[in-house]
Amino acid sequence: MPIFKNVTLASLDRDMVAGTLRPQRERVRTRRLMDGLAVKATGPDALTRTLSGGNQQKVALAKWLATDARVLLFDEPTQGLDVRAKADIHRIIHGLAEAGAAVLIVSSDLEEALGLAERVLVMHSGRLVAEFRDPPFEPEAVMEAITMGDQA
Amino acid sequence: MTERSDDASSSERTTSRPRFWSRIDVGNLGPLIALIVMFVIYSTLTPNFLTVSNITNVLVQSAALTVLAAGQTFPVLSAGLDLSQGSIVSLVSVVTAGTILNFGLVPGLIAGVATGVAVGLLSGVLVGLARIQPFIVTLGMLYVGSGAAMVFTDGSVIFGLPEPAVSRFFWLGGGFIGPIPVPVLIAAIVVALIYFVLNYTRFGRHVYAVGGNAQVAHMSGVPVAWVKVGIYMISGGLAGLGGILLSARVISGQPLLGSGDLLLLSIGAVIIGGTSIFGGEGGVLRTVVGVLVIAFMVNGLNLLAISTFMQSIIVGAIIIASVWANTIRSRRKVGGAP
Repeated sequence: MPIFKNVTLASLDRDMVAGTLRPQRERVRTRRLMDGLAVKATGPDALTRTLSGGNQQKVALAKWLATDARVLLFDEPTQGLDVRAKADIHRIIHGLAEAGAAVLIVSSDLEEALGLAERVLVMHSGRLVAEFRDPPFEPEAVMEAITMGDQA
Repeated sequence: MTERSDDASSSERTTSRPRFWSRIDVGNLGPLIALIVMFVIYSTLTPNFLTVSNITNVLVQSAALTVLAAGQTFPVLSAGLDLSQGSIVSLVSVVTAGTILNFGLVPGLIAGVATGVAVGLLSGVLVGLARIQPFIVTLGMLYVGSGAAMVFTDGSVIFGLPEPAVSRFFWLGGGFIGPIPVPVLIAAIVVALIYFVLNYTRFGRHVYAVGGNAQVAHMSGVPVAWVKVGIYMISGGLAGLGGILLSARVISGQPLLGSGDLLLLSIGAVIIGGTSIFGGEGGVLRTVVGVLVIAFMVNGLNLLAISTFMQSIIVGAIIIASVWANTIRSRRKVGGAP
C-alpha cells in the first residue's frame, strides 16, 4: 500500500467529509507527518514496502502520531534499525514527551532506556525489581538491578 | 481508460499534490496497452472487428462477466478468492426464474440478488469469523451452490415465464436504452459504484488494509473479520446480479448456467487486469481492462476463425504472462528502492 494509506488507517475519521474519504486531504496530512519525521520517500504515494526498515518504522510511527494519541506505548521501537534511524526515532520520542504526551517504552537496550526516560523501571523474571527516578541515571546501578533481580 | 496508479513512480518531492501523470505507473498500463495492440492487430486482420455492432455485441456478452469480476475484485484484493461465483450464478438463475414464475418479476430479482448475498454471507462468516481459508470455504460453497441449484429444480430447466414479466426480464439482459444496451449500462453502474466504494469509503480502505497485512490492519483498529464478511457478501451479491443478467438473456432458470468457465474467467479477468493475488494492490478499473482483454481477445479469434480449443490455450497463456509481468515489476520496484 502507498504510504498515505498506511499513515491514515488508524485515523480515517479526520479525512472524511460527509461520510466519504478525501484522499487528497489524506495526502496532505501524510505529507506533513512525513516531513516532521524526515521520512525518505518520493511522496505519500510511494509504496511503503519499498522503503528501508527505518523509514518503514517511521511510517508506522506516523500512523499513531496521526491519531494525536495522548498516551503512547513503544515496544522495542528501534530494534534492528541503523544508528541514524535510531537517533531519529529517539529524537521523535523526545519531542512527543516534550509536547506533553505520556510515553511508555519497553526496551532491552540499556543506553536507549537511560537516554530517553525520566523514570526507569527494571523487570527481572517477570517482576518489577527496581525503580530509578530523575536522570542522569547510574548505568552500573541499573545494570546490577537487571542482572541480580531482587537479590541485590 | 487509464487507471490512477497507487504509487508515484516519478519524483514530485515538494508538492503534496502529485500531478496526474506522475501518479500513473507505467507498469500498470500493461493490460491496457495489450488491449490497444489487440485492437490494432484485429482491425487490420479483419474488417468485421472494428464495427459498432461487433463492439456492442462483445460488450453485451461481457456485461455479466464484468459484474462478476467486479465482485471478485474484493476477495482478491483482500488476498482471498471466491470460487463459489459460478455456482451462485446457477443457483440464482433457478431461484430468480422460479420466483418470477410464482410471484412476479420484482420479487424474482430481489430473491436472486438476496440468494447471492446470502451465499456470500455464509462464506464470509466462515472465512472471517471461523477463520477458514477462503479457498476451502468457497470451494465447499461451489459444491453446495451447484447442488442446491439442482435440488431446487430437480435438475430441470425452468421455462415458460409468464408475460409481461418475461419481456421486462429479457429487457434487463438484451434491451436497449437509446443506443446503449441495458446490461452494459448495468455493468457500468456497478463498476462506478465499486470504484467509489473502494476509493472513497472507510470499508474500501479497510479491504486494501486487510489484503496488505491483516495483522497490521487488526492492530490499526480495522474490524478484519467483519470486513471479510462484507467482502464475500459483495462478491456473492454481484455474482447473483451477474446470474440475473445471464438468465435474462435466456429467459429461463438454468441449474447449469454458471457451471462453465465463468468462474475461471472472473478470476482470470481480475488477475489479467493486474490486481495482486497477494492482496492490497489493484482496483476495479484494472478488472474492467482484464475483462475487455479476455472478451476482445476471444472475439477477435472467433472472427479469424481460430478454434475455441486454441482460444483456451491463448487465454491461459495470457493469465500466466500477466502474473509473470506483475512479479517482475514488483521485484524490480523493491530492488530499486531508495
